[in-house]
Amino acid sequence: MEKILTVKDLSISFKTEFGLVNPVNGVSFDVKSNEILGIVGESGCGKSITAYSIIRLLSNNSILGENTQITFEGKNILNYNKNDLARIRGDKISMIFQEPMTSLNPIYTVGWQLSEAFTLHRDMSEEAVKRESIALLEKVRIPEPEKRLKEYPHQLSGGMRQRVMIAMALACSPKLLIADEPTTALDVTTQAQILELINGLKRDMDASIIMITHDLGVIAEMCDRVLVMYAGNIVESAEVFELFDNPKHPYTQGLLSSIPNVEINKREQKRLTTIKGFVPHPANFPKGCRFHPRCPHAFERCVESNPKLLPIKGNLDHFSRCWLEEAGDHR
Amino acid sequence: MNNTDNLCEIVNVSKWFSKSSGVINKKTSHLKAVDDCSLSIRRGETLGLVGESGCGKTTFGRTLVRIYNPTAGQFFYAPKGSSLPVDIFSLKGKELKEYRKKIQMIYQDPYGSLNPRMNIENIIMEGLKVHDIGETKAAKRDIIANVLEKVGLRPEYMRRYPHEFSGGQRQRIGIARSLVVNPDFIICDEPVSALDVSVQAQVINILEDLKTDFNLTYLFIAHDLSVVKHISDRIAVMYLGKIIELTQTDELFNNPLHPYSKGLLDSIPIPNPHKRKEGKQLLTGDVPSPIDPPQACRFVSRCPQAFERCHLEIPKLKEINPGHEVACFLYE
Repeated sequence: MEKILTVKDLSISFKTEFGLVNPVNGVSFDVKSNEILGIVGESGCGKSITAYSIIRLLSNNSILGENTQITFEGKNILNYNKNDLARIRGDKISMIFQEPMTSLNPIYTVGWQLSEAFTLHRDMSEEAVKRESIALLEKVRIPEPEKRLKEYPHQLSGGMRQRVMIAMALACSPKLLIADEPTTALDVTTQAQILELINGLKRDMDASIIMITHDLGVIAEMCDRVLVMYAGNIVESAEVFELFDNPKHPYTQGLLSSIPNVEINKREQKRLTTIKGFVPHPANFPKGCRFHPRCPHAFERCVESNPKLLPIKGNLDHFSRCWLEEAGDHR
Repeated sequence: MNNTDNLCEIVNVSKWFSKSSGVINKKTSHLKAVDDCSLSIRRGETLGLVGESGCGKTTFGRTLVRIYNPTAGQFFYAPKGSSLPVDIFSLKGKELKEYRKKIQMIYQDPYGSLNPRMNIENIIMEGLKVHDIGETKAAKRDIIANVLEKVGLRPEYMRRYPHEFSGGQRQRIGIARSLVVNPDFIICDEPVSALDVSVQAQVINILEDLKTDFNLTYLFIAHDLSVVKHISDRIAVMYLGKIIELTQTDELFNNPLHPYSKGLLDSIPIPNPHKRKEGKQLLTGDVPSPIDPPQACRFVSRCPQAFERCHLEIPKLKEINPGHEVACFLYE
């Protein structure tokens, strides 16, 4: 499959009062056309800023690494200036944010906010904009779209607002849609509706989606391929079935076994397996493998140096960042 | 109360919030956060309370500890060895204080629920002072050191302040604070939903261990159904201020009766890509407003099986199978 986005050796640092903090480094991945790529990890692992860096929504005190390359449709978008970026944002690449409550502007109507993408990127008459806006709201299954255009965000429920966000992101039929925890703030029944909607869009629109979430359930429902991030590194990447059937990295294994299994009867459930300790702060990532202080299998080498993300034996599409893999120790 | 196995008997409890509007034609509307809910909680069990945001589960918990004053209803409480159950909602002052010690709460937000200007010792000491436990300061400190160890924190941490701890550690401090006054009954209001997955499991295990060690009874309020399934013996499902289904955990998951419970269980994302929900019947629409709801089943606007009667009357919680109660006209 054709690659539409390639990220190479992404490193993000922030100038802070405590000096330079480097929450993401050595992150390389690509997004193929018409796939859903999941990025999963706990808070503070760097998944959101990785996605933000693609359309450079990072704050002013951020610095990207010297060797970082971000290629979108064959062009290095890191060289783009403000105007070039503005041209692709919301047009070819668009974003769905986590907070449907705060990411819409409270003082403008839904219709106004939807029309923005059209007036910025397309030369369209007022009539046409309205027609397109209604069509968009219908596409994300908002009832009575004509009435909704005149409403303000506070008049909508959380699920409805998230649908409006998605409609805005879809306005110019993007090639790449970045969804940052699109359902985290929603209830399960609404979450199921929104996930189904996003799945349908992928089928109908020939777009690629980067799905950022901390919820392995959402990953399993939606994604084709998964990156697992821990402390600013990708620690494992694989096709979704392979990842869940055959997790290799001790962190992935730990994550999967620490969620209660809803498929097993309560009577047969055992005590939960835990990962000891907690996620480190980006200012003091441990030396060596960043997971080693929490890893049940850590040995000397893990303390000394950070392993590389390499294909596992027998599967060139499944990568793990672990010395155990190198030692041929299959757990 | 007729059953001695029950620790709590909650009878027809309501909590309405009123709001007046208009100056000349003054109108009062009621937000019925909890409306006519009855429930009994057995000694030593964990009762899960689930529902979506805005369904009233937190208000229910807070009304039980009298953070909110109930609009109506009774809450009979019968600790072991007491001859007669007492209606906690009718108590005041000194008598109520006795029971505040017995019924404790763990809050959802580990960041907002600890005073940032107090160190851990003082945070936990407050309960001891209020209830006059431990004679000297040194004795109090021993009790605190002991309880910190129970929740897996080092006693040396006593002098530190909340900002020095991670989310999971703060939640343990919250647990220690409620545990220190030696309660029988703890209301856990979403105790793990703000935590990372890897830390969530640690806190769930601690809650389970403490329950056995101290013979506790839990009301476990949460929206994460896989967590609730893991920890609860029985589960009550709430929708828009009403309890709509109540049964044993496995019975609810294997044989949900209420159309809402079915929809809710079907929407859980399962971390197993082999079991994707393709073509499953999902619930549509949103939770309607709880302000002045109509005289009808609360779920009628979203129910795929609603018929005429559902629009006219409010169904009551009734036992359909042994130990399985549901409020739905489909089963009458």
